[in-house]
Amino acid sequence: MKVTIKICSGTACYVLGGADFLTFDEIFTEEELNGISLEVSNCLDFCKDESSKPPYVIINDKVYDNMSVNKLSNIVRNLLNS
Amino acid sequence: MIEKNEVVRIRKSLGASIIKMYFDDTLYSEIDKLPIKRTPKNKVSRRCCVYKDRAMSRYRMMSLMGIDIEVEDDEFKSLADFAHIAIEREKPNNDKIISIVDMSCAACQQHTYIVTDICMGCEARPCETNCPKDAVKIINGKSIINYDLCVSCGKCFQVCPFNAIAYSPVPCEKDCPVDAISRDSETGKEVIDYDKCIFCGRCIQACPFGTVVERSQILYVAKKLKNKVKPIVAMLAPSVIAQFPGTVGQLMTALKKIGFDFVYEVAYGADVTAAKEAEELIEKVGSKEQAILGTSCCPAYVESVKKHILEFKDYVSSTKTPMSYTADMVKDKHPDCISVFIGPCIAKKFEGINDPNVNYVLTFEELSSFLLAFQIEVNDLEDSDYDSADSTNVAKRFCISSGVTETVKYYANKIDPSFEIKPLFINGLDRKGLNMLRQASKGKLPYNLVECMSCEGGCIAGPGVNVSPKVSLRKLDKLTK
Repeated sequence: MKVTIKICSGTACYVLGGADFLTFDEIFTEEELNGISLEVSNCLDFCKDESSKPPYVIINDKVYDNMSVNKLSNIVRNLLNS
Repeated sequence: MIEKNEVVRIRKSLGASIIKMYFDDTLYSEIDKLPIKRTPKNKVSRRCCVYKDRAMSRYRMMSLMGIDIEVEDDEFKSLADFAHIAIEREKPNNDKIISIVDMSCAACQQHTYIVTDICMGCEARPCETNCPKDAVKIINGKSIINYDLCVSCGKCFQVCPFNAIAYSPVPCEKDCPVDAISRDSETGKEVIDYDKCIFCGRCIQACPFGTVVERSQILYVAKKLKNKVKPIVAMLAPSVIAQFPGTVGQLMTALKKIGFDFVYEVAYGADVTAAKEAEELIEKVGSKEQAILGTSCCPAYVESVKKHILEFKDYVSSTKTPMSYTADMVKDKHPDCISVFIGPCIAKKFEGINDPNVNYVLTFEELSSFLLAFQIEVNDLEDSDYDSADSTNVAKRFCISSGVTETVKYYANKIDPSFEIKPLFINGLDRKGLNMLRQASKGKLPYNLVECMSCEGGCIAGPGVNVSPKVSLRKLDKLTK
């Protein structure tokens, strides 16, 4: 089964670091990309609350906040290897 | 520069809160509650205690409101008092756009090289034998540095077989290319020497405590947008390309939703700058009047020449910057308007304060505070077009290293196809870049055009951008190649 990644590219997520996930083809190898199903989404509405921490990414239906390229690649690689 | 920086996130969200309160008419009643709301007493503090976090929020907000915290700080004044002062002000009261929050500073190590507990006091003791100043001695089985003698050369750090010597630079001092920031010997806190500062913004990006702050103009712009009497024109720098989600056309619609009346493309001004620079190059260098011509669009580099490399001053092109030409056109078409440059650059704030046709300067970071305050989803909007004439594709690439040269080449070729441009790229004005500039001023290098950009990679890597230069470069290549 493929690992599904949904990247939020709403305004808040994008300007608070989420834009960096758009270089996913540099984050993952071609082989890894074959095991990934990726979707770039409009605002997922997680950011509206004051204590929210964009950028948000959903990996296999689990929501992650304050995401970074390093955290993203680590989580996805662990899933790919399990 | 610090990757994935929390300081930037805090700044953007505080800016958004100030803008939102101002538009909601709650600025004066709510602003003094904000530091407490952000760090309530039961929250884990980032500094020594919640009170220091709140004090830091206060200074950050003062700076975001355009208050010069070094001169105007008054502990008896509330944030609401400062908000009143800021709102009554029409424009920045001086051009020293970078300040230091001294209560937040002094957290850095006094010394660059420190012996840690890992030291074994070994028999070989290379730290002691290799120190050129005899500053290191092993006493009671542990290496001790005598800082009266130490010159921070780093030899001991390099030779220790246990990595027992730590390198702990003062980040702002390390990244300042012109030694404009240094420790005050009495207070131990960093101070900026404005006779040396080139406003490149490296210290702001370097400080892990967010102690170095830029003075923002968000509140001046917010005031003009809210109580509109004159048309307001946004001038978007070429590096805008990937700074926000969606297309630049969608961003233009977002700007209009915020209240801007017209949006002009600064790449238009880049075409003007490059065409004039090409003319100047062929006129001055072609006639052998001078051996080289330096570009003139990067304000931090121009400031560094004025303050540090006077020998290069005569080589800097007399052509104005793309911002300046765009502002001229904007004021020509809308004589009554308020012009707001929006770009990646902190030094542009300094340039803007001294340009009569530029009313305000915002960074992309500050524009994101507006979008966050208004909760605008750029992706959901329709496309709009620039109100200015179209620019060339080469000028749209002005914002990357080599981009200026390519545009000058394009125009030089139209004047005299036989004229050969031999460019020297100074891609990043760090200490090495400054040395290259010194070398170039001797006129003996085999180049005739010096393109200098303070930020490595160009404006897409400026201190006020939202996204990594990689993302910008990709989109730029996709749209202009």
